[in-house]
This record gives sequence, structure tokens and C-alpha cells, in this order.
Amino acid sequence: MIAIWGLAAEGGDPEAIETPFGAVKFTRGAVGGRKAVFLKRNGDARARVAATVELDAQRVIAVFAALSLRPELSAGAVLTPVDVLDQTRSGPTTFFEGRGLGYVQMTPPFCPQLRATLASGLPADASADAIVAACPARAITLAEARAWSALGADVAAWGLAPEWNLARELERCYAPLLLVGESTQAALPLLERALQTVQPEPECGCSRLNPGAHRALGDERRTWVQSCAALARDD
Amino acid sequence: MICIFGGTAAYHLTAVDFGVAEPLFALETPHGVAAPFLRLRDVLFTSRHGVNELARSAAFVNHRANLWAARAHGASAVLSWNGVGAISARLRVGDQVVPHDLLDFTRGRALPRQALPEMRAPFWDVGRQALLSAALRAREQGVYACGEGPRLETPAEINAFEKMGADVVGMTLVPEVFLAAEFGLPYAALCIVTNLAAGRSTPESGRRFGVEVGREGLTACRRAAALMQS
Repeated sequence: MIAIWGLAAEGGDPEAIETPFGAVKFTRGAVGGRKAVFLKRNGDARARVAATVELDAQRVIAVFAALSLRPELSAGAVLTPVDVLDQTRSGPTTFFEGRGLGYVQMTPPFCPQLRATLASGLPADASADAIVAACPARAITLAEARAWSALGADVAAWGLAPEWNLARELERCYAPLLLVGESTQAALPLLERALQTVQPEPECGCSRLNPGAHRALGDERRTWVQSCAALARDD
Repeated sequence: MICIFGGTAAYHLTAVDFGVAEPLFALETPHGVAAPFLRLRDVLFTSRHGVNELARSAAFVNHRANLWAARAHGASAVLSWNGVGAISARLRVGDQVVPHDLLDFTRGRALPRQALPEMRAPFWDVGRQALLSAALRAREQGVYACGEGPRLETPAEINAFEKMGADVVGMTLVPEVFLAAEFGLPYAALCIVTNLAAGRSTPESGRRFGVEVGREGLTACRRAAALMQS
């Protein structure tokens, strides 16, 4: 099962799944011959991650409409960035509130194998080393765009953080797909092509990103979610 | 009396490391429950992240309660140690830095209630000089970047911190250093390089998170305290 975030499936009956962080609506479908679940981006990002775990999707392709910070990246460009500059200042930063867990390595920040799969569906000239600025939930200013660009960012996307780091805490293979100046629906044909070549099972290190949580809470990520939600309620 | 705030590996320290130690139990403060303290022969001590285990990551340390308790137990100043990732290419695992300034990249931590319209050195110079005399390998200049955590930083973030002037990166000094000023406690810190920052580390560059880091921090801070109290 592959989860696609930020994109609606064609057809597919609307379903909902309860999580300790809220209900999440989704639809089932297929892309590139693979079973997929499609989750819209609304509500608590922890709920989306928890739902993805509950639906047994190890891999998450996160689709975003993005803004270019470089003149050479014009509308229609499609990118699978290699790194992220988090410029958000709010939203939950971790599932593991009040605990000594969650020291998740971000080298690399995204699943290298899933990124490579996505890149295989992209034009050969697509920027392979793009850095995405994760924007706060508001318009960004021209000065911010300049500053983030000076700090290394090539493109900006809304909603990437904290969903990305929360997904990594629960050891999902997470890779973003960015469409500059286009609706996320334009990603569908691209995903159809790219996912033809996806490995049947992930062969990356992502399922062991959070060794501390394995030691403290065991190997079942659903248990992690329950345990974290119980602590979050105690606050 | 100097109070030592122990960071990385402080939770690995045991009675052997402390010597004579009188436990001062966790105080209920107006800001919540503080960490337990120890009264050592010469100084007060507390471990930010827990006792015997890494119980809470940086964002969940109750700095305000701990500083209130430190003062209630008789502290007049704070020395701390904390593990950092090296950003500057001049730093190696095992090096030490006594930071002179910092950059804050945390998000929404409990800051002082009274924002002061001033720009000043965040660290106490007398304490810094004492730490430099006590920890002979320590470098006397360094800008500490404080990330929110608990996730580690990305390579792109580390490159950006470097462009902005940071030498080392950690997760704990904000808001502690600012709150210490609010509590009238002069504050200086010793950074111990535990690893190279994201995008800089290699299998050969090493990582150090064991009890020896705690011993090094405790020894340096105690020596610095003794220098100031003599």
C-alpha cells in the first residue's frame, strides 16, 4: 500500500478512519498498478500520519503545489527535492511529547529509494538537488523568499513541515513531489509512470529511523501512536 | 553557590562520579515540578534530561521550574554543559567550546515573561573565563545555534545556520540562558562536541554520547566553580 497525500483519487468512495488525533478522510485507488490510499491535507498532521500507519502504508508520496524561488525554475517544473529548510514556527513538532524520544536523523531527510522512484518518472533535466523551504501557513513575503533563497532554498511549499518530520518519526518512507505553479492533480499521470517501477517492498533504512522508540515502546508503530496520544491528553 | 546544569550524558552519571552528594528532592515550584537536585561538596547539581535515563528531550525540560528551584536551593549562578554537533569545519568530536553568542531557531518555547528591548551578550563573562581556565582544550569563541528538535537538523538547515554564523548546534540553551537572566542567575555554558552536524559527519568522524561526556562536563564545571569560589 502506498499513501498519496495532497491529491484526490479519481473515483473511489470516500472513507474515514478514526485516529487518536482526529478522523481522517481518504479514498482508495491505484496508481501505476499499485494499491494506493489518497489522503487530503487537512486537520492535524499527526492524524494523517497515524491514519497512514493504521492503513498499513509504509510509503508516503507527498504532493505539493509549490512556488519557485529561482528564475530558472518556471511554472510547470516538477521536482523531487533532496533536502528541506524548515521555516515553520507552529504545529506539533513531535509525537513524543514530554519524553526522551524522537531524535530522528535527517540525513537524508527524505526516503532515498522513493525519491529515486519518483525521479524516474520525471524529465531528465528536473533539478535533482533542489532544496525546499517549508513555509508557515500564511503568505510568504518577498524578503523571506530572498532570504531563504540566499540560505540555499530553490523552491517553497506549504504544509511540508511538520507533516514530514512527524511521518519520519513513525518511520514512513516519505518523499515530496513538487509542482511549480500547477495544481497537484497534474501529478497523477507522472505518478502513474513513476510507480510502474516502484520496488514491491521498500529496501531503505526508513523503517529503523527511530531506534529509541523501538527500544522504549516495541516494534508496533500503532502502539507508539496510542502511547503518544495518551501522553498528549495528559497535558 | 554555583549550580551546575548537566546536559548530554548527565543521566548516565552515578554516585561514583558525584562523590559526597545530598539529594534535594524535586521541588513543587510556581512553574511546575522541578528536576531533583543534588548538593555536592562544593556545588549544586541537576540533570536537565532526567535521572538514570534520557527521560525528556530538550523542548520538554521545565527550565523555569529548574531555575526557580536552583535559586531556592541557594544558587547564585549557573554553569552548564551540553552536547553539540559541530558545524564549523575547525571542530572535531571531543572538542569543547565556551560559546559567546547564540542564534535561536526554536519554535514557541517558554520565553521570559518580560521581553527586554536590548541586545547583549547572553553568556556571563566571568563564568566563561572560569570555564576556559578549567577546560584547557575549550575554544573561547563560538556561536551556538539552538534547534527545536527532537528531530535532528537537515543538512540544508546546517548549511543555512553556518551561513548565518553558527559554529555548533544543539537543542537546549534556549530558553534557559534567557530565563536565567530573568531569575537573576548569571549563566555560562560549556559545549562538548558529540558528533559532526548533519551533512558533515562520516563513519570516521565518530560520535560520543557515553558517560565520559557527562564526566567531562561535570569535571570542567566543578573546576570552574572552584576557581570562582576560591
